[in-house]
Amino acid sequence: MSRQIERLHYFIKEAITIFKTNKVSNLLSILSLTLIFFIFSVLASSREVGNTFASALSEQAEISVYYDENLSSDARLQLIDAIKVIEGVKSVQEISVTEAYERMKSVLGDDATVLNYLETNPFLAFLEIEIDLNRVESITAHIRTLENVDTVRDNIDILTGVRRFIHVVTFAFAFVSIAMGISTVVLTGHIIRQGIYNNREQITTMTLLGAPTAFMMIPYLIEGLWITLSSGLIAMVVNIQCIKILYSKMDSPLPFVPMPEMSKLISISSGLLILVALGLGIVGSLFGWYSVKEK
Amino acid sequence: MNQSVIQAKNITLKYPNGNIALKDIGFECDKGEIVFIVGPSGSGKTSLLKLFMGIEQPSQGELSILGEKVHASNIQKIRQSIGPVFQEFRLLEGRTTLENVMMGMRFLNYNLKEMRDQSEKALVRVGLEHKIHSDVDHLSWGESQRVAIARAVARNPKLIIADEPTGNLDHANAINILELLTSFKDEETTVLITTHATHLIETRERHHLITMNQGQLLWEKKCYE
Repeated sequence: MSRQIERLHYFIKEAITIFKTNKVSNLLSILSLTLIFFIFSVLASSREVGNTFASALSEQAEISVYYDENLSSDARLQLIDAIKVIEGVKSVQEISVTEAYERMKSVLGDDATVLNYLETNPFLAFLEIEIDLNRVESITAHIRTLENVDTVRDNIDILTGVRRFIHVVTFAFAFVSIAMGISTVVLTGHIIRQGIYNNREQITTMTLLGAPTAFMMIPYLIEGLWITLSSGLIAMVVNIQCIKILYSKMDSPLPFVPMPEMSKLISISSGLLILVALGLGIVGSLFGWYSVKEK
Repeated sequence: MNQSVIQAKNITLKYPNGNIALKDIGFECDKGEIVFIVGPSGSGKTSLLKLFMGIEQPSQGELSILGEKVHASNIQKIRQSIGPVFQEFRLLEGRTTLENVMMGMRFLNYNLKEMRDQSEKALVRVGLEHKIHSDVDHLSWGESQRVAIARAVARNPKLIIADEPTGNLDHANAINILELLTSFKDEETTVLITTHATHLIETRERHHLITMNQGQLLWEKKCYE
């Protein structure tokens, strides 16, 4: 066994001893950190779902342009050309009155029989324009200025609502990330400080025997990492179960909501959670050690 | 042979509150000597040891240990070359005697087998071979002092510093501990012992005696005959 492995073995044994000196408090700290990390993982997952939803909506963002029924085919083609050159317009498709009727029939499904009661086709021909979601306001404003345009129907309220929701989730994610970072660092630092206080005699003795600071610090670093990583792992398991339940529940009632692949969502949220737990464990332990050393 | 292990030149130690703990102390201890620093309580023995251990820095004067001038930058290296025996033992609770002895060597350049071998040898030397795996919490004061001595000598120090090693012991145990500590003296190791029990050293041959009082060196004598 090499000297490094022997030392690592010693450090781990010491970290376990330090952990055991305040077992109940440390276990409760793991529980608190698990809850904090779980909230973080839920928000990380929500943010991922929100981003997927937003990008799906962005890709499918459309507006409908209605024009004068008696417009000649040349004038219609001119209108289409004029729309095509507007910045942010991806494509323009002409929807005839028949196609508009068929679409509504398809949307209504079993209830489409109601259309049989109509004597004539009430639907109008229109232009279906695929656009860049971020330019929806300028595009609609521009189209309204074009000749022969009767009405522009956009779903701007819904799109704005979705964008606002994503902003709220992103803000909440950032806010919770900062709050979680601070509370984890403070909590881990406190655990380390408490461990140092409980073992102050041992540290003084080791110092007088000539032990380097790094040698004495490593078991505390391992303790901090162990606490945050175990909390992160428990939170990760709970989060994975929640994602699985959510996907199984959303399958039937909300099939149209665009969701990221479950495996992708699990990998992203779990990877982020473990990285954050690892980073905060190191920062928290160092913070705890140096805040005591300064005194 | 007579190289200085401790060299103190006009040392003064003044605490921030203005108290002068040591005043103009100067002496030299050579390699392989047994040095007794004696004096009543408050004479400055512990303050002197604090300087040797780097816990305090002299306000004036110069102190060298094992050829190195004591300074914050090299105190860790100096401490690693010293075998300290503390008055209050400073053993790690909840650990075995062997673990306690090995604790002083963990951060030095030994592998596990060397550490274990040397620690066991030290425990045999102090007469605790039958308590190698005993919890130190269950040892008597005399046995605890022996573990502390084993921890100090296991790493082959060039200087052993013992602060009042007999302070908490009865007469018979005190004599035994003193015998044990002085037995580590050889041409390479200097043993420095502070005590206020002068009667324990009166009969000893070949030693270096430093007597202190009120923070000053009262007199110094090398008894080699």
